[in-house]
Parts: sequence; structure tokens; C-alpha cells
Amino acid sequence: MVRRQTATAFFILVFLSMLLAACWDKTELNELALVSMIGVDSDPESGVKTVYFQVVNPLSSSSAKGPPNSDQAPVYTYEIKGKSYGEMNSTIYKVLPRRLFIAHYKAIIVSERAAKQGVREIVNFIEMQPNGRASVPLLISDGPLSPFMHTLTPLERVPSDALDSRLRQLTRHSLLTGKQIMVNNVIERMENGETIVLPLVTSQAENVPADSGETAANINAKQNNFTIGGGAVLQDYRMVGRLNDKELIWYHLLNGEKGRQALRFLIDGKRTSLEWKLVRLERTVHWQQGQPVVRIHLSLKLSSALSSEYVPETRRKIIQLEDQVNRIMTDELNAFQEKMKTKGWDLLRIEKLLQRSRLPGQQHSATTAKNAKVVISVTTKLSQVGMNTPY
Amino acid sequence: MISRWQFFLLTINYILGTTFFVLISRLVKQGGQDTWLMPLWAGSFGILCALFWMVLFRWHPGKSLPQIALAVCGRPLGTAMSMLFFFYFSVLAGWVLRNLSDFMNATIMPETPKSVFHISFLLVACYTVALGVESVARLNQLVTPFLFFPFWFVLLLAAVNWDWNRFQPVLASEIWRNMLEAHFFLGFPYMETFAMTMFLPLVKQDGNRAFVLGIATATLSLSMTLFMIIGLLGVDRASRLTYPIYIVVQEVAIGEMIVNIHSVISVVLLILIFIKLLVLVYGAYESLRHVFRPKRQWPHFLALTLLLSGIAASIYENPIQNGEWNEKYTFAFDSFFVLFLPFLLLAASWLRRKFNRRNHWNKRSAN
Repeated sequence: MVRRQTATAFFILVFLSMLLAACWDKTELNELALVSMIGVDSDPESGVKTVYFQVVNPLSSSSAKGPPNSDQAPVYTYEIKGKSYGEMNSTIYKVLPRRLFIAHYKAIIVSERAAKQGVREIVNFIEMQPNGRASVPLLISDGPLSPFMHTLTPLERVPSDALDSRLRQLTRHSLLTGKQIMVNNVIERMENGETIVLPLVTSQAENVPADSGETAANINAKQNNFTIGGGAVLQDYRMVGRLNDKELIWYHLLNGEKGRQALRFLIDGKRTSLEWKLVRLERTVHWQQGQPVVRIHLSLKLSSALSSEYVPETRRKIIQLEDQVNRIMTDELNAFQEKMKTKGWDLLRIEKLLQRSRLPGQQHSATTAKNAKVVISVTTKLSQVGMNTPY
Repeated sequence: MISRWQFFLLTINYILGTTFFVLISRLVKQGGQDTWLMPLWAGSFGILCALFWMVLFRWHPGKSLPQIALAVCGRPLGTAMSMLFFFYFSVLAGWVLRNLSDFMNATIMPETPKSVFHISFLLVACYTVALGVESVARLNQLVTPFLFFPFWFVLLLAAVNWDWNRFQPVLASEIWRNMLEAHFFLGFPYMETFAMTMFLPLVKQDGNRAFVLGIATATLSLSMTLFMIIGLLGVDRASRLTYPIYIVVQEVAIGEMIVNIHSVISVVLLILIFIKLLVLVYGAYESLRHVFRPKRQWPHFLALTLLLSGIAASIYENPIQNGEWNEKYTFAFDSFFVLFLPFLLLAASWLRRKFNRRNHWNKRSAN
């Protein structure tokens, strides 16, 4: 009797094990092609799209025990062409021997010419795939995409890591990049009708070495590397122009980014590098004779820790310095705003602000936003001093 | 018998069950940035429905739904009515199962056949239900903390992406008109709480207050979740994505290493859905048992498993169809079962009571 019960229990147990369907479609790690970065290009004439998948090479992993295998590239770039992105999910296997796994990719780069045609299709495709994360930065390549996708970076072995961590450093230590550059930010802000700026990357590679060993042996980090600089302006999912580094700083400052930024100012006839950081950004709307007036007021914290050229020594001198910085920055910002207005880019999100602060009885239209007068003012406070009196 | 606390928790988890899966993006599409107000309105309607059912159960203390039907309408009519309830619970259970396998196929296990999910969930559910109402309630009580804390914890982790601007402009989306258009929200999940009345006579002391409080708590919870979804994803994205909660958590990254914690949310959602399934299987099985009083349980459970997995596999062809049905017919479909039939029962018991009293009085005067 006991034996029969045991047998029954055993049988049930074996039967239940069939229910463990969780591993039904399991894939071993070494059967996957772990994509670290994706590049998208599109030929405007033929409509042929090219996607580059940078697949991590597990054999050259630096985290593995033992000396890293330096004669192997840390990533391999697979290139696939086709008429649609969906189709490429199948045709990629013409060249790729492992299952494509994109859940962990860290960046997506779109070529300039593809961005000019529009990135709507690309972001739609990312959002539709359940395993494709939308919280990765979207960048635009300055010039053709191919050299960029074939560039190995020094220090960080995998180019996407280099890109990712450089973007992080830039948002923290400069205003050259903002935080809102993820694919999901792009979607949200495009749907809101905003104009946004995405970082541009440029490849410095002149003659690409065949293996990573050669790159690793080269001391010049600038050679065969890529740089982040400048910004691509996007309107309605389409690249419409670009900003230079100085304009990027003003753009991010006026949009409330809190990174630090050092800039040279002409104070008392001397060039002085001052570092500053945004403390508060206030935007208010007034109506004057049916016309909106937008006031943007910035409070900045100044630091002379990086200024080796000139440090004010008395309270009066400090106030003088602050006044001069206020004036210079106010002028620059107003000039920037005027320039963007003539280009028709609403980079300060004035239209959204007006929509939100509509007064009863005030008619809102696109023209009122265009006619809106924008007054920018800056107040600074010197709060951090590095060295009291330079030699 | 189950305690009031167990009944309260069961009500909450039952309502949240599939709502998190199916309804979020549809609701956000309707309500825009003020969607979080919508559950409050639908929840008050749900409470009204609950009060209405309670009247019926107060008239027949200690009796379950099929027993009331049998007592009020007599054997043939009562059986027919119980079978209608059985049908209702079965269809809902099939629906829930299908929502579940859709979710699994779309997110983590794209290649597993749908029936594997259906049958494995059903087997476990039947086993639990066969052990009686206590095991259902206890199981739910046991898992609730493991649902509640991880769910809110991962949502809080996601809060780094919070943006208050996503709520603006406040109260500008014609929320009242949108609420009326979204009447499907009344049916699913609130009118579906009818299945919970199968437990009502089994609650120690009196389950009425626990029931109403459960609906209210689930409503608040839904409202808070919607609030977070909008603050984290924004209206545009939340209304277009199929599973917004899943995406919210998918975009959380803790440091550089932990970037995929959305399996936490999958497990929470799966268990929630399992609890909804448990309640419905319980309802369906009990409607059968009270009418047919079988000597052995297992043939009924086997048949139920076959039936429900069949319903689940064929109830709709794709989520788009499901959404369209939801929008157009849910309210009418649910109203028939949860408002019209109970109303008939109430009317019949009122008539019977009146008739009995007159009979009684007639007999007395004859003596």
C-alpha cells in the first residue's frame, strides 16, 4: 500500500515537471549575440536602410579571469541592408550565427542623412519590440555612419560603454549634453510638438586599424576615436539643423539643465575662466496689450576655482565681476534666443509655456507664440573660490 | 469560513488582477493627464453595485448565489439561472487566462504555446479550489505582501523619471465626458466583482463592510498606479504602449549592472491574475456543485479545466479584438449577469415573500 502511494506520488511529481514551461524556449548565453550598440542609416535615394549591430565578443571580455585576449576585437560590427527594419530581424541571420539579443543595448546612433529623412520609423520600431528598451540615448552621427561603427575606443573596451559613460560625464561636468536624450524622451517631446537637440558624434578615424591590438598600442587617444560635440536640432522627428558648442551651452542652460560649465569671460580687460552652475530658473508670462511677454530669469552660482588668470580680492571687486558676468551672459542669451527665433526653432519651449499659462479671454495661436517677446535676465553669485590670490 | 481580513484582501487582488494588464493604456487614451480620476468614479459605481447585491444576500442569509436561485425560482428555473452564472464565471475565467497568455507571449516567453499557460494555471487553480474556500483565502493572504511591496518598490525605483509637467494642464481634458464614454471601465473590473459574492456568505460574522472597503482600496490603488504611470511615462507613450506598467519598470536602471528588473513586475502581475482566476474558478465550480451535488469532485474539475482552456484558446483572436469588445459590449454583457439577473432574483424573492405572507394569513383566517 505504502509502495503504491510512493509510486503514485513519484508519478505525479514527474508529471508536474512537465509544467515547468519556463525554460521551454531557453537560450544559452553563448548562443546569443549580445548587441551593445545599434547604428541606423538610410539612403534617401534608394530607400535602402542599413543597420549596424555591434555585437560583444565574449572571448575578449576584460572581466573574464586571466589576461584579456588582446588580439581579438571586443566587438564585431555586423551590417545588414534591407527595405524595412522588421525584415532585417530575419535577414540578419545571413551573416550572424547567433540569436540577436538587443535587450541590453546601450546606445543607438542614426546617421545624419537618415535623421534628415526622419527618425519616426526608427523610434516606432524600438517601441514596438517588447525587448527593445527605449531608455537608451539617441545620437546623430556627423557625416557618414560607417566609420563610426567601425571605430574602437581606448580605455573602455566596448565603444557603447565609452559613449555611455562619456555622455554621463558630459552631463555632469558640462552643459554640452542634456539628460533628455533618451529615445523615450525624444518620443515624448516630439509628440508634445517641442523642438529638441540631440548630441552629434564625429568619427576621428582616418585609417582604421584591422585589430584592437593596434588600437590598444596607439598612445594617441584622439586618433581612431570619436568625439561628441555639437547638437542636431530635431523638429517633428526630423533633423532640421545644428547647434555649435556655444549654442548648446545656452540651450541647455535655458532648459534648466544643472550641469557645471566653465566659460571664459572678459573681465577688466582680462580673460578669466569662470565655472558656473544653474541654481534656479524662473519662467513667467505677462500680457501686455494682448501680446505675451515671457520673462526668463536665471540664478547662477559662480566659482572662481578654475580661474587662474584673475580673482577679485575685495567685496566691491566681486560685485563688479558679478555685474559684468550678468551683463555678458544676458547679452549672449538674448542674442541666442533671437537667433533661434529667426530660424523658427522654439528651443525654449515658449509655445508650451504660453499654452499652459493662457489667461481667460486670451486667444492662443501659433502666431502669438511667434510674436511673444522674450526677456532673459541673469543674476550670479560668486560662492566658491579656489585660491585667494594667484601668484 | 474565511475571515473578514482575508475577504478584504481577496477583493482587492481580484479587482487589480487583469486591470493592470489590459486596461491601463485604454484608460489613459480616454482620460489623458487626468486619468487617475477615472477609477474614483467607476469605483463609486462598483460600490453601488456591491450594495445592491448585498440586499439580495441579506434577504437570504447564509445562502450562496445558486442556493438562492434554487430556493427562489424552484428546481428547473433555479438550475437554469445557476447555469447562467456558471457560464458567466467561466467566460470571465477564460478571458483572464487568455489575457495572461497574451501578456506572456508578448513580453517574456514569445514561443511558449498559449495552452501551456492555460492548462498549468488551471491545474493549480483547480487544486486550490478543490481544497476549499479556506485554502483560496489563505493562499491570497500569504502572497499579498509579496505582491504589494515589490510592486510599489519597483515603481518607486522608477520614480527617477518623474516629471510633473506631464500632468499639465490639469483638469483640461474634459474628464467628465470621457468618463461617460469609458463605460466599459464600469463593467471591467467593477461589475465583475460579482464573482466575489460567491464568498460573501462564507465570511465569518459579516463580510459586507470588508467587501465595500476592498473595492474602495482597490480603487485608490488603481488611481495611484495610473497617477504614477502618467508621471513616469506621460500620456502619449502610456496610451500607445500595450503594457505601460511593464515598460515603466523596464526603463529603470540601477547603476550600470541592473537594467532588467521588469521580471519582478511580471511575476507580480502573474500572481495577481492567478488570484483572479482562482476566484472565478471557485465561482464556476461552486455554481456547479450546489446544483448537481456530485459525489466526487474530480470529474467536474477535469471538465472545467477542459472547458476553460477551450474558452481561453478561442475567446478572441487578438488583443485588438479584445479591446474592441471591451469598448463596445462589456458594459451590456456584464449588466445582464450582474444587474438584471440579481434584480430578477430580488423581485422573485419579494413576490414569494408577499405570496407566502398572504397564504399564511389566508390559512389563519380559514382556521
